[in-house]
Amino acid sequence: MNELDEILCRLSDGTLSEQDAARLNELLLGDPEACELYLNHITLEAQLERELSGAVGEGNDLALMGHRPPIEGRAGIAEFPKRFRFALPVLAAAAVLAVSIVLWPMVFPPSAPAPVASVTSVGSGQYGIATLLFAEDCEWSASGGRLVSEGDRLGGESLHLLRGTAVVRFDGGAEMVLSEGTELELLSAARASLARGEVVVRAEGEAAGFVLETPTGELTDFGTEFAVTVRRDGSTDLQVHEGEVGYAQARGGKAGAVKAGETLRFELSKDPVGIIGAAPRFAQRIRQANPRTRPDLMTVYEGFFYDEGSYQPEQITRGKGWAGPWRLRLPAEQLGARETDSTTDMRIVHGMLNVAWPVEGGRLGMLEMPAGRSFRIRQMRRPIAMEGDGITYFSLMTHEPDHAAGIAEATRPAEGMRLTFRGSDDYSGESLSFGWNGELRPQIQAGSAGIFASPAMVPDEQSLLWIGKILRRAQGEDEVSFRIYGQDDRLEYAEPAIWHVVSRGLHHDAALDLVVLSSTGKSPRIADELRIGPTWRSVVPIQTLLTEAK
Amino acid sequence: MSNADHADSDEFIRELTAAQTLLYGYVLSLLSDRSAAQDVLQEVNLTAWRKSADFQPGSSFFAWASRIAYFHVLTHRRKQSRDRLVFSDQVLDYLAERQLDREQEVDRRGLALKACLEKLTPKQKTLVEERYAPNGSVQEIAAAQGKSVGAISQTLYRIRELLQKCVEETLAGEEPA
Repeated sequence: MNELDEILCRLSDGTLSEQDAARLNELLLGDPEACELYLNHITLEAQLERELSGAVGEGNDLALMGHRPPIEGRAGIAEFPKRFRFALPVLAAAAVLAVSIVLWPMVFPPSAPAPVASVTSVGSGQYGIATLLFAEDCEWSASGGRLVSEGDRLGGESLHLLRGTAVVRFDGGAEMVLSEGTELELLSAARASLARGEVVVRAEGEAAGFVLETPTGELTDFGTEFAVTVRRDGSTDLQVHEGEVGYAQARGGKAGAVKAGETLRFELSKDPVGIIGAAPRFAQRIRQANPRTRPDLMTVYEGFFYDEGSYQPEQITRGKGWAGPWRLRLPAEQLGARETDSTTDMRIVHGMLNVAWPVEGGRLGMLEMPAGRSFRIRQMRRPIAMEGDGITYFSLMTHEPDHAAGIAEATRPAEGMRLTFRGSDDYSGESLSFGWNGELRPQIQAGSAGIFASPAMVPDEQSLLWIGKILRRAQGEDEVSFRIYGQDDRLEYAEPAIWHVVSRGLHHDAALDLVVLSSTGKSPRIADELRIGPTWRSVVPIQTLLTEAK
Repeated sequence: MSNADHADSDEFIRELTAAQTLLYGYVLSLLSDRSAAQDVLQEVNLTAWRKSADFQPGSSFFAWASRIAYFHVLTHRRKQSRDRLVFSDQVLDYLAERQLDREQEVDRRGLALKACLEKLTPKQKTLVEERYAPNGSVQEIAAAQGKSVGAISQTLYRIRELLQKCVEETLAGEEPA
């Protein structure tokens, strides 16, 4: 094996290093023969992928993928589904690869530089391709893969739901409700394979183009909602609730499209037949699962339920999940000369929040962070163990004063509040801090690991709801997400598709057991209802159930 | 849409579907990253559909679509940091141009490969199928078989060599005397 062969071998194995990539370029530059060898190698790779990645047909017969001209939007303006993945039922089925780059449907990229990844990343993506959005009364089969929980990121893996209802949101935007008895393999951010069971898929707008493989062929969504049932014998029912779904039967069978209101049954080696469908809608399935808030799962809570007045921090002892009362910082914890407290008490006020979300509390008893600088610390009984695997959500209600009243100084942020998690055994070490920067943009500070900021601006003079998610991985990157909800923002039954800020390249190992609430500014600000828990629903009140897809 | 328009759309879909392997190979050769190639191919398909009216029936579909693919590759490269790019601009341009010239050859290679796969032993074929199945990887196969990654890598290398040799011999047998 010569040097080029060795590099091409590593390319095929997905272990090409940056040095290999540079050397490959050197070997090809100005050498047509080497380029031919490379092209022959890549052609073989591409053709093997196409030929062997679950091709459902043979020969040169082409079963047409169902297709339609641009779909009429609600305004009567033709709009084309943004993601339109053509199925390849014959000759070359689409190669299914787990993405190596997460397709977060986030609007605002972080400011931190992207991590340097291996040039050819093959196999399960480090970031995953979907999120388990919701899991109610679920029992998963361990033999179907790892046991997963609500909020988990999912890679290219198999899910076998024995009992309960679950919702998966693919990074391509499609959302899928799984009913019990469903065996589903996640193939990519916009593709899955249903071996058995019943799912309802909603993939509108940008999410159109989602492909669902079944034993009898492939279904491609054109911006729609549809239900699919696969029985033990592989026969498949497709009921389209809204929009259109294209189908291509296996083994060179028929291809076409199914419109809203129609239901077809597919069986191998038979033409599809129309039947009467009775599958529920997406929203109906969710409602049947009764997605309720789960405050019982909260691990930490502080509601500041006290009469109005000033208290010494050690007098603020109530709540859940704490190892002790609130306190001031110790001398060793004062990290900067300018970071001295302007007061030493904790002032409880009432009725200073405009609570737009259906949450208990937030009306009586809240903490007023005074003008100037203020730091208050409380230790949790159980730390957020960053070295292991797990998910932690938090929420915090705040009230932000009018920013115009405290114009930022040239060099320092004049107004701001932060919620920071630190470790008591190494206060100045690893930390996760949530708030906004000097330009009033939501921000995650991960200590020396970097700062991640959003281009969005925090609205002032209103009550805000901060929600964060800390997804910890023992192997691979941690993912930390943050969003600030304004008074007019609605909370749904599951976490949002879009976070204001998402971290990149983060890997913490510390045990973060300290909660640090800090504020700086010319006006006092309010903090209340700090909740920490393992799921979205444990910390966030659900305002509305799903509405029907429009 | 008239029947004629439907027929044109059908034909365009047929052309695009038939060109998927060629286009994927084209993009993969320029990006050298399979998951990036998959994403770019999806964008190429979307753009090709949008511009379908620009395609002249009877002309080379691959030549037309590969231009769209080339620009999507460039767009993708612009988004990557320099240290994540494999190829310099010169190498990229050369590879892109060569791929256009190889259109017919690549088609014949694909057909030859189908026949050559059938000449593998069952064990060899199983290994290749496992490797190129969705989410297949050398690491997973090695773990499943209790062998080292190096051993599996070497075996796959030898199988690829066999297939490549078989394809070359098949193509050579097709050349006019």
